[in-house]
Amino acid sequence: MEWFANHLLSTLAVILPCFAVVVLLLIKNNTVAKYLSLVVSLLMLAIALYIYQQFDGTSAGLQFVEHYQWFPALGISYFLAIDGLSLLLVILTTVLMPLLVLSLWRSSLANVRSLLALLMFLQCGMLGSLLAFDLVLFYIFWEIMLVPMYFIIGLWGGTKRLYATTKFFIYTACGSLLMLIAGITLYTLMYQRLGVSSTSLLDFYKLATELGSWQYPLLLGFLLAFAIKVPIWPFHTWLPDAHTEAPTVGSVVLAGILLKLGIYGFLRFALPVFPEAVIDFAPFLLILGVVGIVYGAFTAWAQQDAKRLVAYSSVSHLGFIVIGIFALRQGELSTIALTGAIYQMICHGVSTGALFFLIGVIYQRCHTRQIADYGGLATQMPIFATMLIVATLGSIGLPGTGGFIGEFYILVGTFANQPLVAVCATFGVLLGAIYMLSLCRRMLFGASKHPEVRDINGLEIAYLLPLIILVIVMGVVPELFLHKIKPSIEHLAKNFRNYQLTGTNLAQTGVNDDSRR
Amino acid sequence: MIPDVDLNFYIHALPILALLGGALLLMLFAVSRWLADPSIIFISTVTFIVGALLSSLLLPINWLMFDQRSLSPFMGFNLFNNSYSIFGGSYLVDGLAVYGQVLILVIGLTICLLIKGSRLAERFFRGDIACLFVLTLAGMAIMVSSINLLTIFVGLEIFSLGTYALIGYIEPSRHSQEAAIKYFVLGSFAAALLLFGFAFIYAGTGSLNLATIAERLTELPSTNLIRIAAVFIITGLAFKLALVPCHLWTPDAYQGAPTAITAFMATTAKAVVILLAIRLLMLGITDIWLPVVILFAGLSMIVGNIMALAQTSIKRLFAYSSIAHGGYMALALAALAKSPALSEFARAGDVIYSITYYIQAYCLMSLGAFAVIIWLEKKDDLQIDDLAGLAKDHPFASFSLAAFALAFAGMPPTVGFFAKFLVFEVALSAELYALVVIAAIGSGISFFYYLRLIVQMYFCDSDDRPRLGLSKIVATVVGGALLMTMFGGLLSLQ
Repeated sequence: MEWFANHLLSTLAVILPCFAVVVLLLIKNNTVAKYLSLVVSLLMLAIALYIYQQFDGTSAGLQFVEHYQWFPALGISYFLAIDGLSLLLVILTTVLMPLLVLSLWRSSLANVRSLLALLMFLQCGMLGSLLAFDLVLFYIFWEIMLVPMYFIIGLWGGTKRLYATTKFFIYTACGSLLMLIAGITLYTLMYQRLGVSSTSLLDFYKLATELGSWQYPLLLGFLLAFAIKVPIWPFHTWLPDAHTEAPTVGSVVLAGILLKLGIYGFLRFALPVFPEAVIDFAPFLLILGVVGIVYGAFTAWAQQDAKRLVAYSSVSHLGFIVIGIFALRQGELSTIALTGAIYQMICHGVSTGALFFLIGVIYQRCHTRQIADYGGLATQMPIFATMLIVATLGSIGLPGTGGFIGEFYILVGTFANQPLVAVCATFGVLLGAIYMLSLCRRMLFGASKHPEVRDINGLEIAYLLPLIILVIVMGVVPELFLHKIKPSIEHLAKNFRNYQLTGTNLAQTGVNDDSRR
Repeated sequence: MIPDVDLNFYIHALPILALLGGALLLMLFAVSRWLADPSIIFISTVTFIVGALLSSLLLPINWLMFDQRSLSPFMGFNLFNNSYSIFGGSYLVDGLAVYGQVLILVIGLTICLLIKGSRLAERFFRGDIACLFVLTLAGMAIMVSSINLLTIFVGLEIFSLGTYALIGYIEPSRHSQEAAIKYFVLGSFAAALLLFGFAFIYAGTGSLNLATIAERLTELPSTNLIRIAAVFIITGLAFKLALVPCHLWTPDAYQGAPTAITAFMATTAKAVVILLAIRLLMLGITDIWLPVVILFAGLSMIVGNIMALAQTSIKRLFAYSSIAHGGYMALALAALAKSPALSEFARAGDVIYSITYYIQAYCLMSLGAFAVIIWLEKKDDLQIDDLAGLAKDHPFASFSLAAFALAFAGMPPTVGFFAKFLVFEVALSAELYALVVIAAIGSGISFFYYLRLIVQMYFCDSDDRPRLGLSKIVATVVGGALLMTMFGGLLSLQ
């Protein structure tokens, strides 16, 4: 037990999910599988909350560090740690998992056991990517995410699932390959410039000032990988297909966490390791972000398929987060915009997750995703309607919901640095209100098309209510979530051109010339 | 001068002596009424191979300290402080030799087990064929443990002739004989090129011993004679490695041969030729070798991956994928050709480590994948479409094949990823940026065809398929390869 207490992050990200995967693959009983997944995911949530409670909110350094030499000759280490940038995303990931298990509780899907195993495996990949501070370890977790998602869409997806899942896999895997090459080049450059072989991120941060013009091609490699994952327009085309064809749990994970990992990659890798190149590339990224906001919004407006509509709305919302991150002026990041971007990631995860759950609920009853096939649901399903409206408002960013705080911070911070971008982006907010509210209107009001549909039951309330409550709580008391992560954000915003992280328990990273050869 | 043959020689030559003696005994078994029984032949074949393997493992008394990374600058000659050489380098035991012998023998053993579990068992374990197989292994073992060009060539010919015969002779059919003839004609052509190159080297330097040649080459200015020799040699090697544009025999030979023999060709033949290439490239005739190797590597990665997209037969698919993987290995070879061999000892050690890591990872994945194919195939050539819906009734087979496919594609945390990581690392260190980008594009393309296997197995519906009986031996091989492929990488790097 003491070992686990000293290795909380490993327990959370590796041991528990992998244990669950193995057991789920071995047992044959679906009911046992569900209980097991629920227990494990609740345990993970408890650990994550304990970490949150123990997290020192006054420090920008690494906490809960686990750092061991892994392949000493190559300088690869097993390095897990947490800081303010990843804290909230870890919580979000662990909060969503039990809800996903609950949503499958009475599911009619075939072979739920395997689906749960894949979800647990996905969990391992996502948490690992958030916690890894070694490039090779990060890459391993990053790619681990891909395979379960591929199978989740391919096995339980809709009619065009093959096309969607192959497109998803190939897009993301090609992006990752670029990142791999850029990462290895960094590694060889580190050996040339610093005489050290190491894949620890902390050493990459030290390398940042030595890179010179290498920053530009290398940043492009990382940028493409993350831009595909986010996705930033024009790399977004896999997203609507994947979202639409994925089963509900797949869409929720995709929107809730997977997309955020691209953004997280920007924060963790792109900004601190290639600061000069980021400053030069920022205008292009801002333009792409704005184009994404407007394009996503208009395209969402035109959709007839509810899931596709929400998928395009994600493209639009993630555009906001991108401009929040890259709103630089004279090489200075905006702390406010950065805070907004991180907060908006969580809010978007919660509200879009809730929206996909809700669409899943209604799809289960009526077996259609076409908005035109619905109408008048408000009278037959009042609880559903209430929840849908709250989630929609959260997604639009109405004051009082989390989305408002996030978008407000982003726009205020961006306006101070790049007023024109902020003005253009504000149109996105307006358009968001139009298409999301029209979704609500068309589905909830008007003539009823499905007279005998029943309102959502207790189980569905059980997994939807936490998200709905979160949407409102995040809008009312943002300080509750932000107070622990402020130092990290400020540290990144102020020092990203000379970014260093420290922490306790760090092992010797890297090998120098003599011990390597 | 006749060298002094003492006990020491017998100890060091034991692996090869065991194989040669075993081959002779198997030949005798074939004419005996009592011993020509397949199970006896099987047991004795396995015994000989295991014996050779054990004696090879015992060769360097300090083999536990075997450190591939510190492979010594000079072709690994001094890997063990007391590397053993006799007959003027004709037979030599150094790190690379022991490594090669162990690799070959382990694969040979696995192939034996696979055949035992397949429908070929009765035909294969006859005295003559088993003898041929053991001789082939002996040829390979000789080839990797020599630095005399003539001995190397003799070893190469022994194993090549054995392979030609194994392809066509075990199960004579139109396809397998066509494959054998094709491989034979092009293989002999390659051997001729290689021999021609060796002759030029001899003409240029007056020696057949690689160590002497290397010494002379550092003194001589690079002459055109040596350049011509280098091109002949590298082209001959490219034929054997199936690098584009010398790859045309590969798909037909892979498809026509009995699957176990395909697995044998795809793994051991590639491994020994790569090891030979390491020894030769360390000679450091860089000015001409580098562009040629880069050309072979780039073409193989592009053509292999693109052609694999169009295949319908699984064995042909793996043939093209093996061409592409040959390209990745050639990428590392290019890095070796670029690292000025004799001055940057350490760098060359890194490159050799990455190549050996890649080849062993590749052999592991190939053996696993071909074992699954052996298990699934009935009479004829297995098509990709035949895999449809496999996951429903054969979960273990489809899971394994999916894992091997993803490992081939280089997904972490499999050994395939670490192999690719190391190769990319040395190539980028050698500043072969364009070639690495090509490799990445090739890898990107490869996702398409590896995913096709998974799509067929998991996402398509099956027609009725009779339940295939699972041979315990094949299942063990598949399971072992699966575990090592999936988790071996996490523990393997030094």
